[in-house]
Amino acid sequence: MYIFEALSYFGNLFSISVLFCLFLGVLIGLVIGAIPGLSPPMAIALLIPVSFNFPPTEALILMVSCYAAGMYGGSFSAILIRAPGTSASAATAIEGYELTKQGKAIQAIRISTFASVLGGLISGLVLLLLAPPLAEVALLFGPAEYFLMAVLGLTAIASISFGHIFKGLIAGFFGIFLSTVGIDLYSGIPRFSFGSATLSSGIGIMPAIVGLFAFAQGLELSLSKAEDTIGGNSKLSWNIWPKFEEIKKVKNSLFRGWGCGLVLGIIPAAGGSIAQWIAYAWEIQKSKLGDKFGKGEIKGLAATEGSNNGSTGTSLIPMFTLGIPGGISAAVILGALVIHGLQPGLSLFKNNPQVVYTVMWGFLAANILMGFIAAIMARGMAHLTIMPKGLLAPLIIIFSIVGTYVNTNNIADVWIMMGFGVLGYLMNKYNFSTGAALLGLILGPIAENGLRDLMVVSRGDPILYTLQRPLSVSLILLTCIIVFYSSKQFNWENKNKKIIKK
Amino acid sequence: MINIYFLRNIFIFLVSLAVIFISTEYTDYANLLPTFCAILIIIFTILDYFQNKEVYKSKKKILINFRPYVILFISFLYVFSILFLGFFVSTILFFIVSSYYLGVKNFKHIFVTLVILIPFMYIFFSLFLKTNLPKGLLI
Repeated sequence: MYIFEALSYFGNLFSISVLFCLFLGVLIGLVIGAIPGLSPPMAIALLIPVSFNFPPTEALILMVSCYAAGMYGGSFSAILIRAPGTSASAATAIEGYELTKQGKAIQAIRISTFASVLGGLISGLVLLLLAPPLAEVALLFGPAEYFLMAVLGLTAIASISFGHIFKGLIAGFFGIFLSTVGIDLYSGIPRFSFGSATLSSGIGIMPAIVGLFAFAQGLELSLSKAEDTIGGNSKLSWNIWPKFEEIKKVKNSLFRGWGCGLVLGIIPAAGGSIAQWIAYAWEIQKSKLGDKFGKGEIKGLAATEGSNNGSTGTSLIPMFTLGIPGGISAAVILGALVIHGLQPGLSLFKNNPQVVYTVMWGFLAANILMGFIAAIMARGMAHLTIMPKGLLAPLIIIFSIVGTYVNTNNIADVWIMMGFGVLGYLMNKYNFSTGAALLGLILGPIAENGLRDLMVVSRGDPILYTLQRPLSVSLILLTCIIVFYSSKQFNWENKNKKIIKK
Repeated sequence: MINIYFLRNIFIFLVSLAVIFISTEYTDYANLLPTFCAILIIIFTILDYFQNKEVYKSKKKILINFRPYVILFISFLYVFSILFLGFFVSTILFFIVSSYYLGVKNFKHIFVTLVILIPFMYIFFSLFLKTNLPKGLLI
């Protein structure tokens, strides 16, 4: 039984070199993840040359721990200064930053840490114990399912528009439109590139996120008085360990977030970036009387943070078992796996079980270590909230610019990022959801490629083809249920309005 | 009097029409998604108008705060100057000018922040990440 085999490699963790790689990976992941523009895939890629100094097991532990910590590190800057470090922490910025403005930065960080650490651990356990059978799920996804998954993701727009439903939809479809900029992979036609080589290669997710959130935040902070701070006059609390009442309040949100992350992590190309929005939208739909979504609701934060780290372990399942990377980070780790002479696939579990299972144990240990290092880092980083806005705004702009530049070494991406920054600033000003635009940008290519592949494989009859696939039918039903619930007037805003009227 | 919200929607409407017009040149279903998005944006813009009629008809004057736009302009100059003066010199200049413009008159605060920021950026980006930050004529 592979479960007992997996358990037998636990002892391999306790060697100096393994523990050193764990610590190094987590530390680098947390720092890089927290800087807007620098992403976990970039951090993992930078670690490949470093990994040559270690045997394959240690090298891969270095990378997976960097991946887990990088996903979590993005939430620091998202919560404290509304500048998400990674695409998977964009939704975190909505509730997290609102809590920071109320002087609850440490509370937001401790819930985020709790959700992320446990999410990563659960995801890691699923990876360790159920990887081979769950790999089959990834193979069930064809063009029809990808297209329907994108449609399902788009239903989240209605929830994250916070009462401005049409503005949210405009922003969402604008995001999808932006995803079509660049050379069309099917016809080879450059779309909306106007002869620009930069635009021909499409709009990258990273410049868009940094612009829409971080750079726009820099511009918004410049509206305030120089001596004002984000956290107001509140004193920083140093209690980083979550309280029982807090956990009790968010327990259902955590389970929903983890569930979203675990399921969407397995599906290649989905992962934390989509899981966070679906978890957040689900949370809003489940809202109760008095919940303050969009104004600093801890449940929303717990769901988004649980989902993005909940997807980290399961996103490695198709990579280890089938050689299909679930996302960019998994693709870089896959490259490292091959460089170190290992062949991904089920044969990896037969030929090198000591490597693969020790790495999985390492992933679990990285999530625990991440919690401890984050607790120390949080104390220092929380000082950003008591920094005068007159100093913080230029700092955010500098990190947005250098982060974007370092990511691709291309100054053109900096101009694109700044364009998105202006767009983000204006969108916030006129109540258009930047989250919806980002969601559209992420889901656009999945929807378009899925639809066009579907047209080919179904030989012109996509509806009949889709209805013959049980998974597709399940996704259609799920989408219908969400649309039905969204249409019912029970969202947080209407409920709160009723309370005010009473 | 036409208010800014109305002008904003006219702008969105015109951009969407331009997208539909440009998309007609694309073949092999390459026009499908952009056209679909543009049509939906037009529909939602109209629906938004009917949902918020009072806002669109409001004659309340909106004061524009130019500080973000000035910071944006300084940021543009900063990116240009990175290519000529180099990353570190431009960053120091940008930080001093922008924070002073935003109202930080205490140079000690600016100096202390720069003393922490510049070595951190050098160690992290140049030494650790081995990134080739633009050098320009200076550093």
